[in-house]
Amino acid sequence: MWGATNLNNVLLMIRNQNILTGCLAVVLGSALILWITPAQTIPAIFATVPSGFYPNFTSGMLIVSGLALAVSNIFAKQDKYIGGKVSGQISIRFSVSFILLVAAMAAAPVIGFVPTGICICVVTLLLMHEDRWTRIILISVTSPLLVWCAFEILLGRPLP
Amino acid sequence: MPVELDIIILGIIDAVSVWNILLVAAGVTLGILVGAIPGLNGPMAIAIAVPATFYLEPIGAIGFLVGIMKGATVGGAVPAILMNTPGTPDAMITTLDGHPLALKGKSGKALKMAHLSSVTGDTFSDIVLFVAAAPLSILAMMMGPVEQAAIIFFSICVMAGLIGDNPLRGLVAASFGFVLASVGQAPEEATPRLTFGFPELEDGIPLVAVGMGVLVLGQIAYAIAERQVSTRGRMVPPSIGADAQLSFGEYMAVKKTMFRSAVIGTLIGAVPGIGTALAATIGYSAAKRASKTPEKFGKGTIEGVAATEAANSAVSGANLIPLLTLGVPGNVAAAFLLGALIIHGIIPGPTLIRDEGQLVFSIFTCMAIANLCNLIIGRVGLNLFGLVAKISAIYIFPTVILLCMAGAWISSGGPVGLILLGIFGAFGYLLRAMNFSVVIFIIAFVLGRIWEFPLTQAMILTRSDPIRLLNYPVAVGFILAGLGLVVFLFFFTHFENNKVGKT
Repeated sequence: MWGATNLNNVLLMIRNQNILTGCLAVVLGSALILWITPAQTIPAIFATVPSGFYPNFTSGMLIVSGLALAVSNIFAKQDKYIGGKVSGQISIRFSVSFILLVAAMAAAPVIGFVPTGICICVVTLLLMHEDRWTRIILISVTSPLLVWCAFEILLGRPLP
Repeated sequence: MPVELDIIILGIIDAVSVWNILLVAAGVTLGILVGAIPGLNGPMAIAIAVPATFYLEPIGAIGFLVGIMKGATVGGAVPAILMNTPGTPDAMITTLDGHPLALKGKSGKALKMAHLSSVTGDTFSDIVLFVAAAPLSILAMMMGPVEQAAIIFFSICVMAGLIGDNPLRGLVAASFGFVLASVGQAPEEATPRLTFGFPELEDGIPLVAVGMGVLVLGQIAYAIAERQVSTRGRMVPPSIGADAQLSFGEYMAVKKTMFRSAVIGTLIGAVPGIGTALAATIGYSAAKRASKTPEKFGKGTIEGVAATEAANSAVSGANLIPLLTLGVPGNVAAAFLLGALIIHGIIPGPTLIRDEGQLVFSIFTCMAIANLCNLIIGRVGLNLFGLVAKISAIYIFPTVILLCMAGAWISSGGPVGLILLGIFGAFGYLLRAMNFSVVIFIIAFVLGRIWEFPLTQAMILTRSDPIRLLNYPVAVGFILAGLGLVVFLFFFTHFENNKVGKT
């Protein structure tokens, strides 16, 4: 019987991070083998082993390990996962950190290293609950300038 | 393959230059400073330092990184003793006896014992490496590409099994690392592969962007999100008089404990993937069991500090045994050393001592110099490092982020490196939040770049026929042992979880 209790169990299990991770690994591995690697690999003409052998082999490992992870948890009697938290909080924090980090990195070549550095320092210190503005200003100004001077002047490596 | 004496002497001469000694000393100082600041650790510092080594000669570059690796193990004990906050994860056990000693007004004695036992354990492990590397290389050279490919698979299985709470999760993380390592060019005809039209990716995803992103930015993002940076203890006042000193008699009184811990640390370090924290725990437990006064452990005994620090420091030298003989890094620091060697055009593996014997003995000399620097700099600067431990990581993190950005920019030569740094920073946060092993992902990413060669050769030798693998019993043995270990540990973990669930 596929009653409400079973449905609840399934929903519980779907929330299980191992199953989700395993399924994602299988999907990613399959996509790599079926579409991404063939589309993104120029076939070698004289090579003894095809150019796509290694990505396909490692994608195969991803599929097998992901499948084993998912299946072993699907057939588990209870939710035994004892690792990380499965919550919307993680997704939100991940999205925020992803957007902030990528935006900061993308801004550096456009507006320059020092202005980006000042913004990063201010945001980082505020996120870490530093509320003394003298320290925020001191660190936010000196850090980017010191790093810029170290690379530009000492090492002679140009920064954006 | 006996190593000729002139190669050893030339290797030593190459390493003993003023510039190299200065670089090693700078690495040790940086390592101790980083280790002393809670929230930062040795692998993070190595990841940040890798781009700076692009412009150095290979010996100086590796010496600098080895110095950081060794210095960080000493530095980690400083806040553990003074503030009950371990500077590095492996110094966690040091807090058990180190901080109670500091509370009794013996912080100086505890710091000196931690420092000396750390250097002792490290030196012992280095001696084992120097002696064992060449004979092990001879054994490793008897193996062909099929066996080499199988050994790398076995190593990954061992790491997946021993790091983290579920070996299958470890394998997923490792597989993803391998997939990312396949981005770049196919080795035979140098045709682009998985580069998505970005010519910057034709040399592969830069190690610097992945290492600094996952290891450093990911850790900072996680520390901010989980509010880990404010968990710090209060600094105890400095000790005075006899309590600030460690006599030779006190040092010699724990020589057996240090030796036992050094042996434990070396054995654990030689197995890829097992961390320093486990070595410290086992070293401490063994010392407690062997002690005539086990009741004093945990209440502030100098023996406990010696046992822990000798064990966790002995791991660092031994970790290089699999790296220099098989090309398999034992931990994240060794993985970055492997990456740095590859960047300098040197591929570690069974033939390294035969082909680059002089360089290997230069590295060994740098390790010996690093131990000497550790002894001197640690001794002279112990009080200063105590002051550094007071600095909150809050004020260091912004500068670390900027150093990562600058490193990614100069190593990849453009904005792609920065974008990758941001992506891998967020990915590093996700790995930590989902309790995946960052260590195994990075090791697999670095190892993946060299695994392809023996694997491709193995495919050619076996003509892609698995049945032909039976002609290589050693390789089959390693593959089965790796798979068996994962299966065993998987069922063992489930069994243990069930027991916990029932109770």
